Order: sequence, then C-alpha cells, then structure tokens
Amino acid sequence: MEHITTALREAGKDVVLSHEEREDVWKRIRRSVHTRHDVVDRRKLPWERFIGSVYHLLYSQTFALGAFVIVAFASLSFSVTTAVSAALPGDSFYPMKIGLEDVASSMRWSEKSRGVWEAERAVRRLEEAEILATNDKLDAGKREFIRTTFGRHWQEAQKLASGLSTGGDAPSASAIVDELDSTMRAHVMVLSAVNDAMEEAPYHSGSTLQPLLEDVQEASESVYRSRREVTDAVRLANGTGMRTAAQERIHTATRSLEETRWLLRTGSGRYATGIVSAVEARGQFAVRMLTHAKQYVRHEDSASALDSAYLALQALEEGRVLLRMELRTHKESTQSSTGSGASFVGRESVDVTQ
Amino acid sequence: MVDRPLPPDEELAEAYGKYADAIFRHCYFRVFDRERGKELMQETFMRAWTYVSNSEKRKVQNMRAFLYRIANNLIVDEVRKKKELSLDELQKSGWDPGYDGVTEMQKRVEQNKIFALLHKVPREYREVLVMRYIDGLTPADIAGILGESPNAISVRLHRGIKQLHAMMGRGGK
Repeated sequence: MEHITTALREAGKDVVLSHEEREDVWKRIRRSVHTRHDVVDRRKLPWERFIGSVYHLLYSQTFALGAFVIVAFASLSFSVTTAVSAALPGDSFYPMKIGLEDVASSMRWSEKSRGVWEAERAVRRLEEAEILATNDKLDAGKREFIRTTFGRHWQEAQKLASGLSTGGDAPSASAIVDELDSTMRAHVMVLSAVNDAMEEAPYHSGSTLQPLLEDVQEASESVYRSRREVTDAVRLANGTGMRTAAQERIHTATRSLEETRWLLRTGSGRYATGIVSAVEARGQFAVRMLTHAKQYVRHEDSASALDSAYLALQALEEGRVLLRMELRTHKESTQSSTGSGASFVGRESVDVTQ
Repeated sequence: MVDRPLPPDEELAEAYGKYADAIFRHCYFRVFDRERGKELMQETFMRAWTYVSNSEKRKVQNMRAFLYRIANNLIVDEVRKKKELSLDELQKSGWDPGYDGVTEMQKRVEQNKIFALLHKVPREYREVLVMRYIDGLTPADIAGILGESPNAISVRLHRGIKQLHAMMGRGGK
C-alpha cells in the first residue's frame, strides 16, 4: 500500500498555483473584501469596540439568562410585596407584613418620623378592620387583635407627640397629632357607617365593630385634646415657630389636596355619583380654607393660618377615606356579581356622604 | 514585551502566502476542477478576512486549521448543492490537474489511475485521504478540523487506503 500513499503525496506536489494565478486571486480577494460593507480593513476605534462589545453582550446567552433571572426575581418580589402589603389579619402573609412594619419602625431615627409612622400604622389597622367588616370576615378574634394593636400604635404616636411638644418642638408634635386627628375623625365616620350596615344586615356573623368603634371614638377625642394642647403650645412659642408650623400644615394639606384630585381622576367611573359630589364639596371647602390660611400667613396671623389649614386637612382626609372605601366596595361588588353572592354591605348601604 | 496582533489585512496576506497553495490543492482534490478549486480557495480567504476583521476578541489561534475548516465547509456545501462530476466526464472535457511538464510517463499513468480510483472512494474516506497525503496534515490536525477524534481519523485513513488498494487489485472495479 506504500505506493498508493507515495503516489498521492507526489500528485499533491504537482498541483500548485502559478505566480500569476496567486496574484490574480489575491487581487480579487482584496477587491471583493473592500467592496463589502460588513468588512472593515482596519483596527476598530475604541468607541467601535465598546459598541461591539455591548452588542455582543446584549445578544449573548449569558446576558439573556441573567436578564431572565433578574426579571423572574423582580416579578416574584413584586408579587410577594403586593401580597404582603394587601395582607389582612388571618392571612398567611400578615405576620410578614407586621414584621416589615416593625423593621421600618426601627429604622426611623427621629421622634417626629417615628410618631408619624406610628400614626400611619394605627390608621392601617383601622383600614384592615373596615375591609374585613365589609367582607363579613371580621370575627371576634381579629377584632380584638386590631383593637390591641390600634391602641398601641396611636398611644405611641401620641406619646411621641407629647414628648416633642414638651421638648420644645411644637411644630413636629403638631404634624403628628394633625395626622392622627384628621384621619381618625374620617375613620370614625366610616366605621360608624359600616357598623350600622352590619347591624342592619339580615344575616351577619354576630360580631360587630362596636367595641372597636368605641375605642376609635375615645382615641379620637384624646387626640383632639392633644391637638388643642399642641396648638396652644405652638401659639405660645415664638412667632417664627408658629409660622413654621402653619406653613408645614399648609404644605401637608396642599399635598393631600393633590392626592385627592389624583384619586378622583384615576378612579373615574368607579365611584358613585353621590360620593364624587361629597368629595368635590370637601375639596372646594379645603381650597377655600387653604386660600385663607395663606392669606393669614402673609398677614402674620399664624394662629388663624394654623386653624384654617387644619380644617382643610380634615375635610380632605374625609374625602380620601370616602374614596378609598368606595373603591373597595366597588371592587367587592364587581367580584360578587361574577360569583359568590352579594356582600351584605353594598354601595348603597353605606351612606357616609353627608 | 507585548506581542501585538497583526492588522487583518496583514494577517491574511501572511496566511495567503503560506497556505494559498495548500488550500487550493485541498479544494482541487475534493472537487476535481481547477477553476472551481481556485474559486473555493478565494472564498475561503474572503470569509476568513471577514471573520478576522469583524471580531476583535475572536482571535484565530490556528490559522491553518481555521482555513481548512472554512474550505471544508464550503466544499460540503458545494457537494450538497451539486452532485460531483464523474471522472470520465472531466477527462472528456479536458481534465488536467495542472502538470506543467511531466517527467515520468510511468509515474503519470500511476497517478492518473489513483486519482480515478480516489474519485470512486466514498466521500468520508476521500476527505481524510486528501488531507493526510496530499495536504500533509497530521491525523490530529484533521481531527481538529473535522471535529472528530484522532483515533477515528486514523481508522478512516486506514480503511480508505485499504479500499483504494482493493480497487487497484480489482482493476478499478
């Protein structure tokens, strides 16, 4: 077999390109390459290399896998966060919600921010009670849990406000009690309406909101007294402090006005006509009060400015609570109309518009 | 000292100087057509140039193996597209491998006979026979180009030679 391989090797040696052929093919290669737009006959510039590397990165499998993992993780996180924030007493995510609130609480260093946060937590408990009651899921155990935690939060907020007031920071104390007072008044109104509806319903679980309602009314009165005291403290403070407190309250009320407008805009079509009229009336009143408050500030009458801004804030808070309740009942009635029977608290049964 | 890479045109010009004949020979012995062999060789270098120019990071480690791989892919495409011409047809149409001055008539006759038989050998054997004995590549090089193990290449070479030998014994039947 040796002669075969030798013959093949010998034959290969004879097959060569002539010098002219080599040159001719090389010229054709160069010409062809230079006319192709996708070939550059030079080293790429730094920015071209950067663009190229980004392009390769974007189309690499690693990038696609990484992007998928990030999107999946973000979606999961978002779902869990949504589930946690919407959790109610009795839900599996609820302990996590409370735990996160505790963590958030421990991360608030100033007394003012802690006080505002405790006020916010107290209001959250009331909202949970309203949702549970509206869905006929408020049993005695959950109600007592809410009563306990609500009491703890509002008392803590009030304590912090008193501490600030006696410490000389009346404007900060005013911010806390203003928040507590206005929201509690609004929730007393809503809870009363829901409680009435529950008691009038032909078939209800027997567990009413009454004990919680009494707690909230009592808390509201206590907070109101605190607010008066804090306001007096502000009045007694020097003019600059009172002016600052008035401006802060005007600022809070203006923000609340914007939020109310936003709620009205985004929920268009989902609110009953009576609710919209009630909220609009409160909004117009708030605008009037805010205008007065600003005029009072300009004329150095900070005490009157404080009062006017407070009235605006309270009216707006009532409006916002009405809208939130309306959204919830609308959602509930939509769900029940597609399936499991009507909720005993319908849109018409809660008359809190007056 | 940093070994700076050559620009694409210089790198390819250098590769062309070194491997143009080898790639041409490889193409020629696979398609048995001198002009087509030149065209395939030209296309091989053009594709290599395109690759080297457009990829900063994809540095070619072994230019010879890279060129063979491109050429081999082009030939496979070519064969798929067009059935190979029979040797008889090639001879009738003036087939000439490009000898310029044959010295030994005996040798020429023997080589012609082997070429005729090489054309009849199945493609998988012919491919490795050309690479090994005409192109002068080692079984390891061939394995790298074809993406197979050196053992498999050696076995195929052995079988290819055996088949050529058997055909010669049978008078090319």
